[in-house]
Amino acid sequence: MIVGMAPEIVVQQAINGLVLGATYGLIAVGYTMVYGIIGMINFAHGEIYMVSAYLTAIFIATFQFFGLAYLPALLAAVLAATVLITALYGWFVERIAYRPLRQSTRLAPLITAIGVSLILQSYVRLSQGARSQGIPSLLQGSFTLNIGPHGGMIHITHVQFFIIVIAFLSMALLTFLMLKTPMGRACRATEQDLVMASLLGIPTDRAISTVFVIGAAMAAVAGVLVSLNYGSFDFHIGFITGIKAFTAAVLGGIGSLPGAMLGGLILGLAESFFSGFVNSDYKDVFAFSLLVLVLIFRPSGLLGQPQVAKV
Amino acid sequence: MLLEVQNLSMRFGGVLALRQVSFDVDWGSITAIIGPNGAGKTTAFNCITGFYKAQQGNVLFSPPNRPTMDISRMLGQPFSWSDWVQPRQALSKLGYQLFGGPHMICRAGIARTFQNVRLFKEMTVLENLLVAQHQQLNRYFIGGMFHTKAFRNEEEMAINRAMDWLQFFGLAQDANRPAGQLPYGHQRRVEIARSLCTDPVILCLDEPAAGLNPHETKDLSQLIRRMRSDFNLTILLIEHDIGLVMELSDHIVVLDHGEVIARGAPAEIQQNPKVVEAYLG
Amino acid sequence: MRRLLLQPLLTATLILIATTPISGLVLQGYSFSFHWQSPLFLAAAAFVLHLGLILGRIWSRNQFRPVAALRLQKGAWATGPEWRRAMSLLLPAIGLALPFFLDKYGLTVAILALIYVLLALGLNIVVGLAGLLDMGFVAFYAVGAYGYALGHHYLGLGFWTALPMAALLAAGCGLLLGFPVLRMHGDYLAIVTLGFGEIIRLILNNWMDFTGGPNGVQVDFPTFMGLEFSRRAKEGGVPIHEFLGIAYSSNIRNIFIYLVLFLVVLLVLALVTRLKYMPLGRTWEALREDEIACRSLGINHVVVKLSAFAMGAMIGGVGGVFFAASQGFVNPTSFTFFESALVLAIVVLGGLGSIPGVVIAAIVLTILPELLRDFSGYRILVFGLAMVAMMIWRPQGLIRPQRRIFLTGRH
Repeated sequence: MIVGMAPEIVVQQAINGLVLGATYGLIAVGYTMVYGIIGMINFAHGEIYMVSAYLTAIFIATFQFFGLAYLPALLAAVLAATVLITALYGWFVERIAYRPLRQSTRLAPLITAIGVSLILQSYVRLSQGARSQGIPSLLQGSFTLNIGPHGGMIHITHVQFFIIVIAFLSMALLTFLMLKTPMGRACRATEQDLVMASLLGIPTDRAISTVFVIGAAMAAVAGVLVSLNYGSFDFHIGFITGIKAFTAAVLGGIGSLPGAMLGGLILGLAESFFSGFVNSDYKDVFAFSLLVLVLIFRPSGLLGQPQVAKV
Repeated sequence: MLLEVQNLSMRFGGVLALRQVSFDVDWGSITAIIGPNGAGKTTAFNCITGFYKAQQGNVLFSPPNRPTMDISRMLGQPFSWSDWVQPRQALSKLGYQLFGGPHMICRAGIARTFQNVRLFKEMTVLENLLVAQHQQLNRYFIGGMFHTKAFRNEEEMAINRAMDWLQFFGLAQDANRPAGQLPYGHQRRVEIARSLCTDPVILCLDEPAAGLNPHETKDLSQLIRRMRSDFNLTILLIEHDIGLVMELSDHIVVLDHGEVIARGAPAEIQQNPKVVEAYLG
Repeated sequence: MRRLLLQPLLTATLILIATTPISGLVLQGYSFSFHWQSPLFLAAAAFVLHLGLILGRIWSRNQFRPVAALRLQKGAWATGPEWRRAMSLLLPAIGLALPFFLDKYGLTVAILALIYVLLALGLNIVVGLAGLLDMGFVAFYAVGAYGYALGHHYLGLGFWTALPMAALLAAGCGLLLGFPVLRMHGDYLAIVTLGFGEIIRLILNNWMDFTGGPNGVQVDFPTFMGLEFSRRAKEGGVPIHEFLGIAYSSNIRNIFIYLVLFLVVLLVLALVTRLKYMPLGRTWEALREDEIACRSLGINHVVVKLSAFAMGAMIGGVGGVFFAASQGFVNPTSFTFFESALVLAIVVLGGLGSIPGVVIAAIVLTILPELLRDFSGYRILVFGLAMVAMMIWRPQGLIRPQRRIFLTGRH
């Protein structure tokens, strides 16, 4: 398919795919970190992302109302406020759905997490209404590049550029946090061995909370970026995006941070090419099938380590 | 020889957990595997009972009046080029890959218990033992649906068999209690009773005395002896309690760093300088 | 006292901060309106809740709790206490008489409630007994409903042929889904089944030529021994009201569907109750408790899991056929993830594995929202809250499942 295409269309789709994949990767971080530390899937994570999209719109409206017109300052303020409040939601999720059930069966926290995602969904719907919402397009314009011998043109919008830059910066910041700070060390120690870490005096409960908060913050970054790009959203978006980001996490190897980003990019590219060259109606089916296939044939993902079941 | 372990090797990532381990288990014997922590005892045990697939080596199991079985084959071996020439072998490999696994080992007659007791905690003790008799029961759907006579008879026989074992282990009064609510020592015995319900030829006990007090340990050693004498069972056990091992077993295999460093009767093992060094050095 | 109030106050403050943007600032296009009451209300609610939790903990610490005594039931094959036997005769009689006293709306609700009973019983096998968290259960419901609808549309199948065939089709889909996901444990299984449910819905929605896409498919109404339930029969047919010599009423069809459905529910109920005490059902529960131990006892987990999946899917498919028959029309909007979540909520609230609990929860959770129409917006919120609360305080469900006691005479 791709062979016969004009190169600029392929490159254009690749860029769109990378932008999409970067946001998947950011959300996947939340899944992969939570899975790494407590070995469970945070089912409410998609809804956290949805909440952050609403927060983005609300903060843009609020800050503009209070007269913040200078664009970089507005964007920075919106990003900061959204990340903070969303992180708070992430913390709530852990406190309500996971912490009371730490000693419980495996099934119980999954069910509470589904409960929490239903709560979040209907809370947003009841507060903000069921209709889809939008934000004004703040970043307009695009870079145009000439490639190929036939003068083919590709466009990179400013928003797309912004997304790539911010996604890269947040991943860099996250890597720094996890590798170089005491907090990151505590998280990694807890991830390795929860019981041992708590015996050594590491506050494991706090480490687990931290991971949920960080995951929510990364999802919030994605929420801001995606909202800026697409401009509209409703209270349903968390579900589909959540599964796709989870697919990305599994694809890269769940539990691995670079894996989440890599998985996100691969999924974004695959989805972009699929919807561009094959069929855009079935792009969600394609993503879900990819998830099922990866789980069957390589459940440890690309960068994950295969695990031997303990007897 | 009832069980022949030949050149078993197992690697986890970069760690060689077992290196060319070989030993035999005689029919009707009590054989113990001992060794310091991390010597590969449990790994060897899991290879024999089918929970791990060894990368190399064979475990041959020859129960009386039945053909010899190769345990590694029953776990599903990878395909090789020679399968193209021998389609029958390839088919049997495919069959074992799809439907093989530890449960086949148990059906062949090797039962096991676990180091950290694995009971069905929410179910009653009796139900635990009934689950273990699954293979021997009438599983016809229609029979169970209409409670036919054949179905009822078989269920009652299963209950009786379970009660026999519970009485043997002195647990009859606990039959209807949820297994998770029993004291630890009782749970260990329930687990042994449950594995006996599968009607095994050889029983593998993974640290049966762990967590028991001296009194319970003494009872246990008597029970193990009676299991052999009354029911013709062969017993293979891993144990840390050297006193228990010396007193109980006919044959001891000592592992250290994934290798067999000594084999023999308890008296020989006590004299063996390598064993003394492994434990003290 | 200060410490007692401090934590709830902190919670309330955090809730206030978190909810002010979403519930306090409501988007109006690109602008917003400010509602200061709602975040304050939420914060106050959080304060009261947290305070209550702390007080409850203090209170329960001072209580002496004896270990729950074991309740003995009669012998291995006894049918249980007298009142239960009486109930098992009385309840079906009430159920069978019920449709003749209901109006059209009441009948619709009753049929819906029974369909949810079926779905919940099916999911209860998979989640409650076998411990496999299936979040795409709606897929089998859809397979049943579309199996009937498309079977009628393309092959001209009637209700009575479609019922067993759709059930088998759904069971087949259960096997098909079960096979690849067998090696996965809890969480992965949940997300894959969820994806599978969405795949089915998206295909139904997008495959315009075959399924009619969002427009859905018309379904023929069922007949009974060749008798039809319409006012005027099609060529050669006889409408049932003429055959019985009674006046035509549009209710007759629904009464018929209700009665058939009720009998099917009774049948399934008998099936799952018996299954619990058959070797197969016992292995399901054992698998839920400990898969590794199961394998060490010679139980092939593949077969056991697949049987649970297939059995649950089959019951879900039967539910789907009745849904299609009662609606006369199916389209993909009836098979969203919310349906799966609803059925899961029913199973959780009724108590994982408890059959009477699940039946009661299904009936209550279908009828209650109908009675509380004015609060319909809060339905999902309440389900979510109930799921969380149940898992934290009563993971066994409202009705604790009882284990069968065997009196063996040996102590």
